Amino acid sequence: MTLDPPWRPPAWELDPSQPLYEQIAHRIRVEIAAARLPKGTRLPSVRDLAASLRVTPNTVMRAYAELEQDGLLETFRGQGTFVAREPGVEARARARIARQAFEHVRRVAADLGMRVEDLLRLGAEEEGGDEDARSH
Amino acid sequence: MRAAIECDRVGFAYAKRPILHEISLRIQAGEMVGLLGPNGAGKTTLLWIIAGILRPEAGHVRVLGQAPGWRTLFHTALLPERGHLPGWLTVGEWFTHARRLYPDWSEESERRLVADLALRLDRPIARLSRGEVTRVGLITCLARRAEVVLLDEPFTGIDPLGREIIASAMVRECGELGRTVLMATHDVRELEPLFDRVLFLKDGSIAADETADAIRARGLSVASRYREVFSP
Amino acid sequence: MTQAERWMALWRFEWSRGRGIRSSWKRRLAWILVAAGVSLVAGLTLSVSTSASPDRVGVASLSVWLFLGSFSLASWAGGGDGVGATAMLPYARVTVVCVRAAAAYVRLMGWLLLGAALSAGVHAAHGLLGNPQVLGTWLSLLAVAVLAYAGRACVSAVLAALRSSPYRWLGTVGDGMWTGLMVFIVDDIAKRGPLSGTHESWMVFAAAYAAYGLICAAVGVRCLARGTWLHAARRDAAPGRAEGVRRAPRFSRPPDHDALARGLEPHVTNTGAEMVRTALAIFRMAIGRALWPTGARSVWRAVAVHLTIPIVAALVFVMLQWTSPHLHLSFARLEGGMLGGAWLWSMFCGFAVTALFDHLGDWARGWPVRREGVIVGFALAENLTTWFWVTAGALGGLVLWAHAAMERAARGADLREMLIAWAVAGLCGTWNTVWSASVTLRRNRGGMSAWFGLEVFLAGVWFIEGGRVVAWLDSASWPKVAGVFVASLVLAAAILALHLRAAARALVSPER
Repeated sequence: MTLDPPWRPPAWELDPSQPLYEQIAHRIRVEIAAARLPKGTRLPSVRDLAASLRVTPNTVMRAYAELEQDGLLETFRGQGTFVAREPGVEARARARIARQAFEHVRRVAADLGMRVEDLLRLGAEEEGGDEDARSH
Repeated sequence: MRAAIECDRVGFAYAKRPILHEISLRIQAGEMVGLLGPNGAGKTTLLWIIAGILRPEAGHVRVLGQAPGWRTLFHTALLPERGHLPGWLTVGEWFTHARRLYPDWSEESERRLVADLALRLDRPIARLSRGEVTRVGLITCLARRAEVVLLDEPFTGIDPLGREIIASAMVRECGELGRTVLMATHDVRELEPLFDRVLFLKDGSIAADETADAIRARGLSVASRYREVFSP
Repeated sequence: MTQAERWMALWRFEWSRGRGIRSSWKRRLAWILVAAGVSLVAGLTLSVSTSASPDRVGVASLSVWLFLGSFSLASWAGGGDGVGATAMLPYARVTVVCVRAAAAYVRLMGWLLLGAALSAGVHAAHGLLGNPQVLGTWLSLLAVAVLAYAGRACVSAVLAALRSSPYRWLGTVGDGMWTGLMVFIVDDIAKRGPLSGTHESWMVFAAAYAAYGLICAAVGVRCLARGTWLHAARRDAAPGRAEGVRRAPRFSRPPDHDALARGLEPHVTNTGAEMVRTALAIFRMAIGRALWPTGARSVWRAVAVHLTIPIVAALVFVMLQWTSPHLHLSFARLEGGMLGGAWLWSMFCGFAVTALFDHLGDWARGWPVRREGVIVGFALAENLTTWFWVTAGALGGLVLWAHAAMERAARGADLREMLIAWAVAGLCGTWNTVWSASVTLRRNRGGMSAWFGLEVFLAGVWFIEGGRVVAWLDSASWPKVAGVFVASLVLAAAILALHLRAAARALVSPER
């Protein structure tokens, strides 16, 4: 069987002060959640992705392993790594990203000693205010 | 996982000046490890000892379970800090010789690397610039299927774009499972995404031995950690 | 890959050192022609100075040719004996040394065969092929070369590995033995009286040298396995330089930059005085390195080490001549040896200066001082070892003279001549170092081979006629000596000024 050429990731800038495998896993998760990576898409091999991102193969391997554990990716021996074909993959990816975003908001709220709802409302008002200012 | 490189209380002195003192380390097969430290910390000497071309004065070294010597050079590729290339040959002639001299030479990798690194084969090695000499040395190391790759300052004299190309080529050629890479450098910022683990060498002793992820989990880059370890 | 293929690959690699970018076939042919010319001229001089008949031109030329063989080895070896490129290869250290030695030996054998053919031609031209003495000597020479070249090949194969090890003196002694062997043979051929057909003593000496070569090779294998040479290689390597660029072993020690800072402020307006000041400052800076290249030790210890070999050589000479019935002749030969030896040795001191400039690279070019002064300063420092040799020779002569004086056989003239030879050899050596440095710094290849031929020829003339020159200087009237002195001083200064200026200009804008 012939395989389609694998998906080519955009040139991601990675932050050297955060674990690299987490950042790579996150980027791929976002791509899946936004449906830019449809089900069954073949991902680049560990070696190729590592070479194009200029990180160690172990880093990519760890990122793939984490995504596999989340059920977002599946690996077939001798064929490569694919976006999982089972239903609800996008929803799962989206849920995970939403949870991460929410955790972040909650942390900020805790730092400021505010309730999450108040922080979100304040944020929405501020953005609305900015838009008002821009429209005037 | 089996250890590719093991050092047990390795010591070395030259002209009565201690260079390495009680170095103990273990590098797993398939790991890419950075050997970081300022000039004169003993990085080059340690690489020579692991490569088997310099004998330690104290302690034991094992490379793939063997004591280093000329036999382990079959599985070990060393990029020396500078020189040690046959200046009397052209680049192309040297690769022709290298094909016959190294049993594990891969012509396919050689061709790919020569194209990627944009090297001209008809130039005599003695007339190359510093960066070109480094490139020829890197190809000599990476075109081999050696299980252990030791690189001493792999970015010497190479411009920023060239560094990116070389980093990609390095990962691609070493990406096969089982290839262990140990890179000695003080250019931490450029190379840090290429380390699974880092050893900080300070005045001939290991000052810290940490995985890159453990450092990043604390919100530090390897470069900031380097500053932490070595700033007075 | 079979074992044979692996050996073959290493052989081809080592053999490739010979044909590299730096030696085109034209240059090699030029070198062969120069060597043949030098050998022939030296052979003619030798045979004329010994007897009226030209029957030993062929053998005398051959012996000089064989001596030149070791220079050709150095030039063929890509200009350097670097071992680094081979040390990284997955080969047993014994194999590495054996293959290196074998490659050197095959090269030397090629040189030997060429020399044999050329000298046979000379013999045929004189109709001497049937002469038993000439034939015997010729065959002995070839046999000696087959043996001695084996030693030479072994020594040259491990020279780089011995560097910076505790056994580095092995290489120096090996070079000394080689020169000694050749001087011994040439001296034997140049003896007055009929030519002997058998030469057992040559064979003994050559066999000893071959055995010495094997010992060196064994020690070299050990040093290679231990890898201490790497430290020297690291200190030497100019950044970005690949191995194989000519780099002599004495340039590892960095110059003393404090001395430079102290002496090099360019505020003197008089150019002559400025040059002298620069030369003195550079001399002070370079002297430590010239004496003890591999590390900072006390100057006195360095001097002692440098004096050891000359003193041993002088002692051997004294022992050989102790019971000589023709003491006056021995003195004449010693004086010739001092003059010729100083000439040859100082030529190499000049090479050392050039290699030092290569090592310093743009640093030396950037010093805000007169380049002529820098060249002279480095040359004076490198030349110190010439004075050591000459002084050791004079001391040996003094011992011999004292011995003769006790037996009431001494002549005052011999002592005076010895002192004159000492001064002339030292001064000429100093001049020759500066000259040799300024010629080699210009890197004018064609000019250099002609100059090298002239140097070797002049050394040969000094060796053979030195005794007579000194005797003339001693016996001639004062005005005559003074006239010769002034004339040669003017000539020497003129030649030197010309070459120095050209060399200084070449240093500023090197033609690569």
